[in-house]
Amino acid sequence: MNTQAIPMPMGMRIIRLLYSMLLRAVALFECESASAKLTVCESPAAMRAENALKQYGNALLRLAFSYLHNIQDAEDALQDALIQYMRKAPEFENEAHEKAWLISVTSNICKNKLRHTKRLREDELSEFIPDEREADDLSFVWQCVKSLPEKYSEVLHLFYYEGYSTAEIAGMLSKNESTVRSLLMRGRSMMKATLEDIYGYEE
Amino acid sequence: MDMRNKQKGGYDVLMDHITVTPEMAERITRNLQKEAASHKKKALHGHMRWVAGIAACAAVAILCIALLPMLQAPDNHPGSLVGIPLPPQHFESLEGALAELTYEAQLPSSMPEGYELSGCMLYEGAMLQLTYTNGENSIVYRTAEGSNDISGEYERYSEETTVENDAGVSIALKGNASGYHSARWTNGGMAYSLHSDVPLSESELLGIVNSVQED
Repeated sequence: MNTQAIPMPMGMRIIRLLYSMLLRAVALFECESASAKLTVCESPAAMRAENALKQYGNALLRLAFSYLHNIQDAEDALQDALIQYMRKAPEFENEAHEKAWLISVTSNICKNKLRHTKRLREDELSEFIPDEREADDLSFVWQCVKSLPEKYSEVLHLFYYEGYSTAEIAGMLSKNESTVRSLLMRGRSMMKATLEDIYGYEE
Repeated sequence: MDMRNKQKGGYDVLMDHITVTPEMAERITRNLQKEAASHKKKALHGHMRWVAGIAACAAVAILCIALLPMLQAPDNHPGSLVGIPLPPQHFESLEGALAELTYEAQLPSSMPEGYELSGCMLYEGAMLQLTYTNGENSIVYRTAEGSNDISGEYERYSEETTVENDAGVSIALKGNASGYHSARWTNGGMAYSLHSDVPLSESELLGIVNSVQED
């Protein structure tokens, strides 16, 4: 019995080749889809952003609150900053550089919200400070800080609360160091005047 | 008692109350994962197009070689499949577009009478474009980080001049005898442009430009 294969006509060979290529392309795509489903919750970018949330979340939330005066909008700003962090996937020299980038982005997001959003509302301190007496005590400070224009309060927050130098603040807020020093000085004077005017506080 | 120390102490205590709660962390994490998934989906769409393109090119090439031997070199440009720019993103609201930006956007606070914001777009997630219309005509405002020319204005105009506003910023104006159609300037590391369908007077155009500057 002759078992030698009969040569396939040229046209058939081409069709077979094209069909196998198509199958390979479909298989490759299905493989990518499956891989995507598996990695949704393990995306390196999302994991990196989640680590940033753990590491810098409180600092960024507090900064956002200092601009927006309510927790809900501060949370939105923090989330927007982390999404930008995930999308841009910037490279950093060290952790300080990473935190400074996040502070700068959060600050800009908050300023954009403040200028162009109408629905911002202010939280009462009692909404997140359960002790009524403590909330009353702290309202003294909060009213004073809230009364400052944002350009002063942001500098005061970063200088006093976060402990950054005027040079570092200048880098984060894209301002000259001399401008930052001047804002700090004027911010302090304004706070003093507010305390004297509203609360009759004297040194 | 030192006033600053008193304030710093009180402010510290106040800020210490503001923390990322476990519920908040969970909400944010969930949204980050959603965002990562949607990003991956978009990337896959691109990949699918890439695979389909390669398969189509290969099929055409094989057909050409097998059936049309007179075509010695099939026209195949794989390079054209890469580097496809991202499509512009349209936003329902200005707020939505601004939330995508990593820089502080300066926007015009003044427009000629009757013009209202009608469209918000982002190009490559970085250049913000706002369109203001009065029903018939439109004014397009653009801003992005850097100092590149972002105007997209390639039309030749008979009148081109540069003026300096009160803040010392140089503004390049283009137009014709009936008025100016475009303005382009940079300030504080940002690039800006304006384009109007209908000619505007120098004072009208500079009125918009000056309303953009930071307080």
